[in-house]
Amino acid sequence: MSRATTSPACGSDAHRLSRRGLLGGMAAAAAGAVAARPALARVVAGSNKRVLQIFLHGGVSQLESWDPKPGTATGGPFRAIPTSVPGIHVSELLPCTARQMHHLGLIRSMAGGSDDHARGQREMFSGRNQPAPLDVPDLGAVVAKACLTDDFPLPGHVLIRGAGGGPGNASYLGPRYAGVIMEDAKPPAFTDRPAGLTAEADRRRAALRARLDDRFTGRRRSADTDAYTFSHGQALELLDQRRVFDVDLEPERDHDRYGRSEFGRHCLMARRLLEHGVPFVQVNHSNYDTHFENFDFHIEQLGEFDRPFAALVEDLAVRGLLDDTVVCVMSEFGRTPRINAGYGRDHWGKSWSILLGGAGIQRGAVIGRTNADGTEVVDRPVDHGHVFHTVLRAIGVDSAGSFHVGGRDVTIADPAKGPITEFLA
Amino acid sequence: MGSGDLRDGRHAGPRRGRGGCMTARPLVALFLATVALSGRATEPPAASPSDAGHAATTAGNPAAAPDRSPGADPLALAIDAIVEREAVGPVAEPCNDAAFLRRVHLDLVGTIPAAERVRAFLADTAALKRVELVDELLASPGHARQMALVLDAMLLERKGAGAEAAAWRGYLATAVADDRPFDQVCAELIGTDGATPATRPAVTFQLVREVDPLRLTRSVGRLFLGRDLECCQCHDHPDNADLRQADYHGLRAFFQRSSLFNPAADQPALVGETADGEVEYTSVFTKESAKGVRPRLPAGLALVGEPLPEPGDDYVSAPAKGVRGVPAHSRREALSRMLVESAEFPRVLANRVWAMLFGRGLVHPLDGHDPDNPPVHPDLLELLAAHLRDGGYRLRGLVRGIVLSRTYQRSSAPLPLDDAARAALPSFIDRLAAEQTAAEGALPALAAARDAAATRAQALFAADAAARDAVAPLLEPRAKARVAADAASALAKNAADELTKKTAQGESLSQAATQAAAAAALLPDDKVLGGAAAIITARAAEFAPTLEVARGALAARTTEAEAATAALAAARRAVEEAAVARPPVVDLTQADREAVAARLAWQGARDRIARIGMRLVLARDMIRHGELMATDPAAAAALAGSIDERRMALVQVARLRPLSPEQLAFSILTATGRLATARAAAAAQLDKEPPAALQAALPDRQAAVRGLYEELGIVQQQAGFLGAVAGLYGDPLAGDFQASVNQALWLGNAPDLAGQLQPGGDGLVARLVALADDGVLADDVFLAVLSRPSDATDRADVAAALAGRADDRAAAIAEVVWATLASAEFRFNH
Repeated sequence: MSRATTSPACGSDAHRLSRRGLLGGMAAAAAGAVAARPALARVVAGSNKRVLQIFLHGGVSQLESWDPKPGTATGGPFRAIPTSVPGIHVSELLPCTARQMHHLGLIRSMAGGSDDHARGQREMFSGRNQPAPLDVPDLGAVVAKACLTDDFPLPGHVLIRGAGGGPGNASYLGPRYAGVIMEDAKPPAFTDRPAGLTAEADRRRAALRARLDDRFTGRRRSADTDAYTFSHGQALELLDQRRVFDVDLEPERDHDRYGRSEFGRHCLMARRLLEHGVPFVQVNHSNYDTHFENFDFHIEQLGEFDRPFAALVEDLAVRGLLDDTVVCVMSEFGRTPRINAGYGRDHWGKSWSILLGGAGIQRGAVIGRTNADGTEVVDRPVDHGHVFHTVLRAIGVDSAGSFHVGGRDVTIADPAKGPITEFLA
Repeated sequence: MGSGDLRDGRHAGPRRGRGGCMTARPLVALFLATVALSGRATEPPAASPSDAGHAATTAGNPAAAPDRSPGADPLALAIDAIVEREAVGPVAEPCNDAAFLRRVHLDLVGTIPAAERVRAFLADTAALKRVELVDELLASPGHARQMALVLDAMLLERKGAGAEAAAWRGYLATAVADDRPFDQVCAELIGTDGATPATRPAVTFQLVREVDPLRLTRSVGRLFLGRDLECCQCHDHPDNADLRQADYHGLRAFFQRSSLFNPAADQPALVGETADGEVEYTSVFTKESAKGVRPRLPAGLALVGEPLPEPGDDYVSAPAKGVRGVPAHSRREALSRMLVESAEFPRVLANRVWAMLFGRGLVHPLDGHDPDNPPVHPDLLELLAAHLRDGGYRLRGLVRGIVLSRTYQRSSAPLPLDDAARAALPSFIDRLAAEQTAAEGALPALAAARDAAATRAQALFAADAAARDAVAPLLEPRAKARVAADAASALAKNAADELTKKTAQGESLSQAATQAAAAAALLPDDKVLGGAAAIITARAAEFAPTLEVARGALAARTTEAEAATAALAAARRAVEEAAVARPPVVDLTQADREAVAARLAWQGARDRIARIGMRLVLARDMIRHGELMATDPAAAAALAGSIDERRMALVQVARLRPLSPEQLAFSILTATGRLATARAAAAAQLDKEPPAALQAALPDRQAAVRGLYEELGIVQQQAGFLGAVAGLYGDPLAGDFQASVNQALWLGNAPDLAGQLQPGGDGLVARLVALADDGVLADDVFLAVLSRPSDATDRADVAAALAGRADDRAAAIAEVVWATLASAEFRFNH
């Protein structure tokens, strides 16, 4: 089992509602027979920190979102509107998000990115320059690894999918931290009992298994056998918690507030998972690859994005979850300032923007700056590596540390990069 | 043999699935044609003293009766001698027949034994039944299939071969079935460019890494040289003086000139290589840099005496748009030879085979062969490496020797830690302490020899580098002179050709003029003829200067060509004269070899000292444990855990090890009875459409070829199931054991698995439903799933689970079967 060799110190706030602790406690109580925690419980965990990652697949245009340049040759037809933070303007396509800006911050100096979808996505997910000879885990796996406790019955790394997005690569961190996919916000695989198997029958056969295991491990007990029998208890717990994955249990009112779109439902699902303590939730919104008719497409896409996203941020803030949740909105790259002959914008990794907010982030801050027509970063260039460090630091993980895996230390994040310290709260 | 990798293959599932879905019959036919052919050509393994015992048992030699007397395998004897001599306190009892049968089935043929097999083996009273079982399993096609899956995961690091998967697995399975020398196989993987049908499957190794020099460097370092040089791409290892940036780039230099070549859209990808291209690097820490890095194995031999060809001599086929480069001298091909002759290669391979059979390498992790991580049994690793090296790299003999050893056949029941266990320790400590003193005494001389040899080699290599530096600036002038000389010679040849042509024209004209004049003289009245003769004569006279011009041109071109040739000769002389200062290749090689050998001798001695020290500490801890028992029971208990772990590391007791994804998948299929169904379907398919290669196989190879077809047919047929398991379970050897909730959910709820527990067909549950007696039923379940008879408590549990379930007895039986499948006893090899 691997562990962080440095102490990420995800300090928990005992006064705040701790769903993860609550569920975990229930799970531990229910696990009963397996009193001893497996030795693999050496994760540094126990905090309520979470990460919400909204991935705008295909590459959202920074000029139609976080870094508008109205009235310039590259700026396009849309206006910039003021936000809840004096001085910060965003595109008029994001009126609802603009009102939540005081919970959020922007990086307008993303540079050195790739112009290739697959490569850009791997870089943003893994925080490492690609191609990397070493297969590295995605942010979700790293967050799950750092924050999960053994008694938490839900998966730690959940991907809510429309289309696109990566597989939730856990790489050397192992299958425990691999992404669990909720296709169209449906429950993860194998959370339906097979036809004809009642919960009672399931418990019955589990009890027989437990008796067999007791006898076997009585002779040959090890940390591995403990971990194995423990995982069965976890699975039963998760089935009991299956309601967590049912977004239809959220109030009708909230469905209305989030909108009846696919992305709205996915955001509501994300809120539900975060409320139940899942450490990493990714929602994928597709598709922003607007080589033609960039402006019409952004009206449509961001029109879908804006209201549910703003509602989600607002809800997290109102419910006190935002203090524990880092919010990221990112793409694999931005789009060319130059508008092409088809009124489109092409792939652009040179000067673009992302959004970070919530826990551990200086809210209302803007990092970096582009020039007047957005073609170059003129202040504080950063890239995927810095963002990866920053998100981890924001949840209290020492991103300069290492995981101890398979007999060696592996750096958590790219050692050549570091966090954007002025962006950290 | 596990990839021993940090990343452990979450990609494996879907990719394997895809691989299995594709129809690759022509490729399968292709490799099986090779089986049939090579079956005739297979030579008996090279005999050596150490493998005389097993050589007779290989497939090529079914007639010779193997010596199966107890302990007849010399390798097994030698393994036990070392392990038992070095054991700290007692070693575990031999495991019982059921545990041995299950263990050896899982390890050699990748699945648990069928229930009837367990019954028969337990009832068998033959004294040598374990030896006979091992030989039978090793010769079976199931062994080829299992090893192919192990090698696939190891060599591709669970990346999956995609569309080539069937051909790739077939290639590996064939190599195992034929017990091909494994050094040849490995050399093939690295050296081939995939240009011929026979080398297509082997090039998969490079293609899955996109022939990327960096990825190949890392993989070859890890897989064959036992070192993860990853961090050395950018800097020397901060904590390990033996992992240097120069090592990484020296290895990379072998691959630097190779790249992926994609011919036309419907053609398979190949490996292209250029004749030039050097590695340079700069440390991100120290800013030290190097250029023109010499290809060199990490801390090993350098590639010396590389040819310095002139343009025109450097390619078999020069790269161009749509044309694959094939250099006259391939660095990658040179690596393929040097790699398998390196000191590390047999050690790393032996360690991987050991890890496959024990769940942990003698060096662990498998890519952690470095001076600060000595093998747990240095002499044992050396023994196994020597067995491979001297025995022609036949894996089967190595595996046989290991599984026939007492060491492999130990029980996993915990070792005693009592006064009896401690009885012999004081004298053991005295012996070890004496060994330690002697070994430490010998170390300074070894260190001095190491330094002296290193200094000699460094001096020679420095001289060589200086000479190469002197030669380097002369190469371009020589290349230019060569190009100029070639061009001048071509021009001179053109001029000569032109003159020949003109001369013929002139002669023809002059003859025509003479003859026309003669005709005109004979026919003086023919004015027209006279006029024509005059014209021809005039033309002939006019042609003379043209001829002169051509002669002049030839003379000029010839002079230029001679000058250019002379210039080239001078440029070549300059290179040769500068190169004279290079030490002879044979001297460089010799010095390099001596330096590596002296370093390894010193390293070996250091490893032994470290391991003696470790065993001394363990022996003293065991004595201390006895004392603590009386004074501090809690401390004693903590110490006992650590003592147990160390005795397990010393292979004094068998380790519980999780089944690999492939073992788990095949074992589930075996237990539920689906494997038998799948096998029957694969066999029926062979009957229905016997592949050409099977029909063409010689009579004595029919069974073997058919067996391989059947096994690989099952793998392809069950690719979805295998892929699902691999995707969820990853590679337990990759790092440490993990049990995830996703795995447990799959085991509990996957429709595929639930389907296998339905009472339909002729699966296990259907068979059990027909049994009226609960005791007989319990025994059947335990034999089929846990590969052992049930005991009284088991039977009581089963009876309780079935009591009052007459109405839904099939469901109750399925619950019992599921409980055994989900048990820890099933999950682990014990």
